[in-house]
Amino acid sequence: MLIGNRSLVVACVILAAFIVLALIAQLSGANSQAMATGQRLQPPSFAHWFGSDRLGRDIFARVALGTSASLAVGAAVACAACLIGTILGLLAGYFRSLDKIVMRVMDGIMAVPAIMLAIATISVAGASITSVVLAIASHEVPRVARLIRSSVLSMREEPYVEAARLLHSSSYSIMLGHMLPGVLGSLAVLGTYVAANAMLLEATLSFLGCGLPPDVPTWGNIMADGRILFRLAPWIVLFPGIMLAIAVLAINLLGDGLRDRFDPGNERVV
Amino acid sequence: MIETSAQPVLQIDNLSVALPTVSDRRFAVESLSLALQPGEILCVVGESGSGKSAMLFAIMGLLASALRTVEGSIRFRGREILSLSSADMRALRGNQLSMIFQEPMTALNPTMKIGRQIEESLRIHTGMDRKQRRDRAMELMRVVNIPSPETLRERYPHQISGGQRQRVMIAMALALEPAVLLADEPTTALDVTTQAQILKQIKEIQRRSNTAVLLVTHDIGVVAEIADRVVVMQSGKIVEQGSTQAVLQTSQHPYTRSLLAAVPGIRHRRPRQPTAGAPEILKVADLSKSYPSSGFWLRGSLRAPAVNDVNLVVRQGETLSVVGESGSGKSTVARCVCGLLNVNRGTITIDGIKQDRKRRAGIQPVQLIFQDPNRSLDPRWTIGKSMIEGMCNIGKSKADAVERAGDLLEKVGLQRSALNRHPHEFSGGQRQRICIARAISMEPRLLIADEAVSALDVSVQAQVLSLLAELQKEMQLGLLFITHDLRTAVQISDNIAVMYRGNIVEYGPALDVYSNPQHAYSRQLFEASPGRRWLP
Repeated sequence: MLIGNRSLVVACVILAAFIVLALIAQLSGANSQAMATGQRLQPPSFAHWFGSDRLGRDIFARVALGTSASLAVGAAVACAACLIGTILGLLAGYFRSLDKIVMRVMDGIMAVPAIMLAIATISVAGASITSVVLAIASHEVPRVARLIRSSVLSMREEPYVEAARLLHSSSYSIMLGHMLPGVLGSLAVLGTYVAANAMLLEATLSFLGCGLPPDVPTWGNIMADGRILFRLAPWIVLFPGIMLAIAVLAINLLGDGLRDRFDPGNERVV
Repeated sequence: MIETSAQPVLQIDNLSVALPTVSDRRFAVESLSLALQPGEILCVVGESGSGKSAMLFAIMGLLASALRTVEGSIRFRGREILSLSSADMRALRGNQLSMIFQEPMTALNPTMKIGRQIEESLRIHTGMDRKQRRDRAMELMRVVNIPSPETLRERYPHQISGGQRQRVMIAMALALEPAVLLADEPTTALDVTTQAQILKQIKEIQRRSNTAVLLVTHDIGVVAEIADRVVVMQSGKIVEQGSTQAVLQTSQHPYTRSLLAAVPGIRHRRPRQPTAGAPEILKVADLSKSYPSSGFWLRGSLRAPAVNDVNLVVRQGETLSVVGESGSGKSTVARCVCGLLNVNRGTITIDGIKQDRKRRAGIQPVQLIFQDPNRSLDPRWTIGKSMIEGMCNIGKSKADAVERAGDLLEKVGLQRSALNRHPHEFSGGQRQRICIARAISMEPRLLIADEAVSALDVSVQAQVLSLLAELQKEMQLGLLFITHDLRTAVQISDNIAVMYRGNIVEYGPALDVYSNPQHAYSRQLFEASPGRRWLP
């Protein structure tokens, strides 16, 4: 319990710092494209905390502005995947006739590598934040649906669910009233992992040049930008990489903390 | 008779085990002293929460970390064991002290073959080679009457029956010829006929090798069947001890008396007026149900719990008990009647209305009370929310439903304020009352109780049964009582149907079935009920 609480606290502090950083960057009107050709490829200094790139743009300003894109993608993917996955999982777990169809489609999606699925979606829908979110979310939906389905399958057999059927409760009120509250705990935990994964995948896609448009500063785009100059100016790749690692770590810690909170198996037995 | 002058093999003096500070009392076990003589069977009896299991775990040095021994001593052959190092304790456990647990399925390792599990303690504690261990394991399996040990030793725990699993547990406990055998409710999870065999087995072993047995149970019938001496525990303290005969027959202590009085006796029930003229509430005709065969590894090792051509009638205000052991199909009948299962063949007529074969679950005139009160209320919902769920579904306004829910709670002996509380704040018996109140709220004509009291302590059982009887009289309910407990069935029913492997083998008025059972299986079932000779 203590460890769970500690990782929850640490994770929340780090994530709050990221959100503050993103807000300040957006509100202060920092310009990610401000070029200063006299100050190209400067190493980190007081003037440029994270150094500057080949066009003299300040890496710190770009990384700070990229924070909001990364966080937004993570949060949006987690919400979208959890919402759709929960609906599909509830339906598949409760209505046995739907189960085979829904779960085979889910298996099909899971069989396609995430990157390939994302690249295909984005090249059809065009590079925008919406299409990136949709591309990544469509790969995460099956994971959520599987989890929810298995919880629903075991809850179906619980006497309190059978009692509700005998009390004339409709299938939908059983699903929403009895089953959904029962899966919220594990859903919150899985949601954090989905968000962390989405941020990594978004950075990968941007790095490969098929994520968000190159003029949007994201951690992945900045790293892609600095890739060819890595030996000359390693800070361009290093700092966004560190930020990404810290953010993903914090979200995973959040998930671990939530899991310790919700999982009865980890509770101390009195 | 055991000589009291002999050196006790296990002596407990003034033992206290503290509970965590948040509990409702300070000690799980308080100032407990008892002595176990060699070759004696001592039963510790008490209701759940009386501290009997905590005592057993203290002896084995297996107390949960939140519980600690605060004072007292436990001596094994004069040697203090509370202060032993964990290595010394390990050597003692298994070697000299052995334990049999309540649930043999979870106490056995599901990934290990039976034979290897029996050999395990021999491998750890003795220098026997493979061949010797194997021979000893076979010998042990024969001692506990496991049929064809050669085949069973190659099986996994899930491939054998519950009774066989408990025999395997006993064989493991006996492997090193312990001086003391501790048993924690060893037959509670078993069918009554299997229970009789296991008790006989324990008695035989005690006689053969002079093993002292300390058996913890809540069932007075088991005590009457097997014990030399009895210790009665209440709230962590010993309230009475003495020879079995003295305690069961001449005890004056009020708690012991109440335990004894709560055991369903067989001749207490006054015969009711025949109800032939009353309208039929439930008529089951030629009901058959089979399950599709599942998983390849189940084939042949488990019999399918199916139902064949079952015919039953329950009239208004009448109680019919369906009695059988696990797997006999009695619960399947209940679930078909209330619509949780679709039937394969046959008809179910409720209150004169023939039910469709493929109908939706939930026919208002039929309500079911489940076995496990801990799981039949949604743990996240308040009692009030659970209570009004059904009434709102059948068209009552929320305010009316809340009002009626409060009335019903008072009727089943709870307070109105329970509406705002959660299930975990109530005891098992209280939860079962809540479930009954919830079922009644639907104004059913037929109430099905599926092992509704078997998870409860005897004194609570008696209270819940009398509540059901009261409600039945008041509302003229038909009651379909599904149980494995013949004594209870005889006590409360007008008619009894005995089920065996999916068929009804005997069906008739309760007293006829009891006093003159026709079918061999019903006779066997009556004879197996523990403490039969002692019961009034």
